[in-house]
Amino acid sequence: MSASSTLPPMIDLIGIQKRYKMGTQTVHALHPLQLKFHIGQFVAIVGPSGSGKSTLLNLLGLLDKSSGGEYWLDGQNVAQLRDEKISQVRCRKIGFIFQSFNLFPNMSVLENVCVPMHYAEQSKQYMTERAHLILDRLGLGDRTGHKPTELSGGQRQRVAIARSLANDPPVILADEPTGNLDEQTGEEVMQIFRELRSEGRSIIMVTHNQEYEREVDRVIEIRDGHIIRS
Amino acid sequence: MRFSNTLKLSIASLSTHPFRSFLAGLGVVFGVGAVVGMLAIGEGARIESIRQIQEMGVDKIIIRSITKESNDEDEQTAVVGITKDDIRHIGNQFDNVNAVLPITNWSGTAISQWMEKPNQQVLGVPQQFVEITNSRILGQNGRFFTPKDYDEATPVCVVGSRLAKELFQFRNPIGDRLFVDGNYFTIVGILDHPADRKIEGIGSVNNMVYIPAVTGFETWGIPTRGNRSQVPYRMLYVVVNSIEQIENTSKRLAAYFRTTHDEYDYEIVLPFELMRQQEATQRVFTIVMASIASISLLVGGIGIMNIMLANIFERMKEIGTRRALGATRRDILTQFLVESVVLTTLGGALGATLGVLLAFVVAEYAEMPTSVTFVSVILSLSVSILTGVIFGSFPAWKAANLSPMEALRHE
Repeated sequence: MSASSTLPPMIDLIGIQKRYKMGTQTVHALHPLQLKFHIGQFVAIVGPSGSGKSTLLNLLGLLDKSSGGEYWLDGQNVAQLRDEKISQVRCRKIGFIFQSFNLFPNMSVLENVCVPMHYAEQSKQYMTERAHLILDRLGLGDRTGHKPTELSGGQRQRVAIARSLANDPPVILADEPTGNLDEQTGEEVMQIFRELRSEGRSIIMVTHNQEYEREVDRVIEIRDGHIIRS
Repeated sequence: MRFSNTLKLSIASLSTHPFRSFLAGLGVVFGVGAVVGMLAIGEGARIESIRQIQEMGVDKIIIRSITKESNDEDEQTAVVGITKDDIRHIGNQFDNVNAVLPITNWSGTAISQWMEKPNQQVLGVPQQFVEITNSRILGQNGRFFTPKDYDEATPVCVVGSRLAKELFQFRNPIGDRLFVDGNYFTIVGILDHPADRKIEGIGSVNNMVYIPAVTGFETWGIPTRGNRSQVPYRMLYVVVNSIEQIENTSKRLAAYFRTTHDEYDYEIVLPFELMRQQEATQRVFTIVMASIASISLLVGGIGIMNIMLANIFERMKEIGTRRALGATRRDILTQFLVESVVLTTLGGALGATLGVLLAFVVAEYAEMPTSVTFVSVILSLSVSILTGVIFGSFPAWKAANLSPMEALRHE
């Protein structure tokens, strides 16, 4: 990834950390760390349970506030923004993919994909066209009217990926995206991620599956809140 | 998020659990129903009592003689009530009085061709009696008394519509004769009040025999009971120039009676004042009833809050996901607030319908007058919307302030 290294990083974490107070003790969920994520990079974050990899992902996704440090996302320091601004950044810059898909069961596939666009206040026509475009591309063009419960696990995760792409974010954060899928469908999801990377998106994935380490551009390993490999 | 989308989303969320939503809104339904129903019953009672008072005539002052039972047979002149002097004085000395209309009563056995009725009330009335009581004259060629009847004290009478049916067995009595205590009177008309008005202390208008007062005096003299002078005038209608003069005139009348009567053998009644008091009393009554009913609205609101809180706990993951997908705190707040307001508004609409139905049922089966006012319906609907806002605010605020990370972690 030497080409992208010359470009400014998509994400630059400078001294980002997470501390908790537990009684009189301070627990470091994440020690101050320096990390850069580049445009078009597919990164896997690995490590045992409780190592701090989910904490890192939450900080990256602005779902949690850091206890210190700077977080530069696409040229903007987002660490100290107000909640309203943070929501906007989440809405337009970051696409989330969850282990258990987190689709809205009472909405159709199309409506699910439209949710982030609702929050971006897009017009109805734009939303429908864009949702169809993404769903067609992910092979779900004939499932738009279905409810998530009528789909297989792999299809559901593809709907979730479609939803994460709704506002065309440069960063995709995936928390164990294949954790609830069998090997073959997991592999399909990985294939989609590789395609998204080739579009220039940064993909950061938390995973337990060591097999995927060979399929990504870079592996970040965390242990006890420290980065031991990056 | 656009408001129209938020509204759609809220309705969709509520319809995911229709029965639960219905139960949650039921408190508001009954609360609003009770408020609308109570207001309708209160308003109906108010209108009815005002109507009754208005029938007395708000531009009149009524002075009634009070009769006291005395065991002392020798007491000859003690209780006299309103006297001829009083009538003359009021007529001459009170500028703002248009007319003084005395009513005298006698009683005796009334005998028609068909029937005999003992203890029949006979009222000696002035010519204006029909207008004062808002009554009307029925019967073919029927009439009330003419000035000639008064000048000549002709032996004529007018019979109340109900009494006429009783005494003459539904035949037309006009031109027929009625004997009262051996004196005969020619019937010239039938007097009828559509709502069968009562004259305070005397009885129903439709149940009397009326004669020109002067005829009564010629026939029987001043009414007597035993060896004692009975009250000559049962009541006086004092017609005042304008309603504004009533209070002032009644004060002057009271002062006059205080100085001329040794005993409290009279009573001054102001229908206008009665109406004002009645309106005030009724208003308090309505407020009390509506307040009690609104307690159920309060309980309904608490029910909504309870359900919304449970709802948020259950939908934590949804909230977290929405936040991750770009929802602001305000988006979440609005979503849940709109949900509770939609719930209470629908509940309110259903409740208002129920209240109107209740008012109808009460009017129909309990024969109580009710009146549903537009204002009460609008008020109740506004209150139910407000209930949604008030009791939905805390749960919505709670939902909006969840940490997205905590919310997402919730299973």
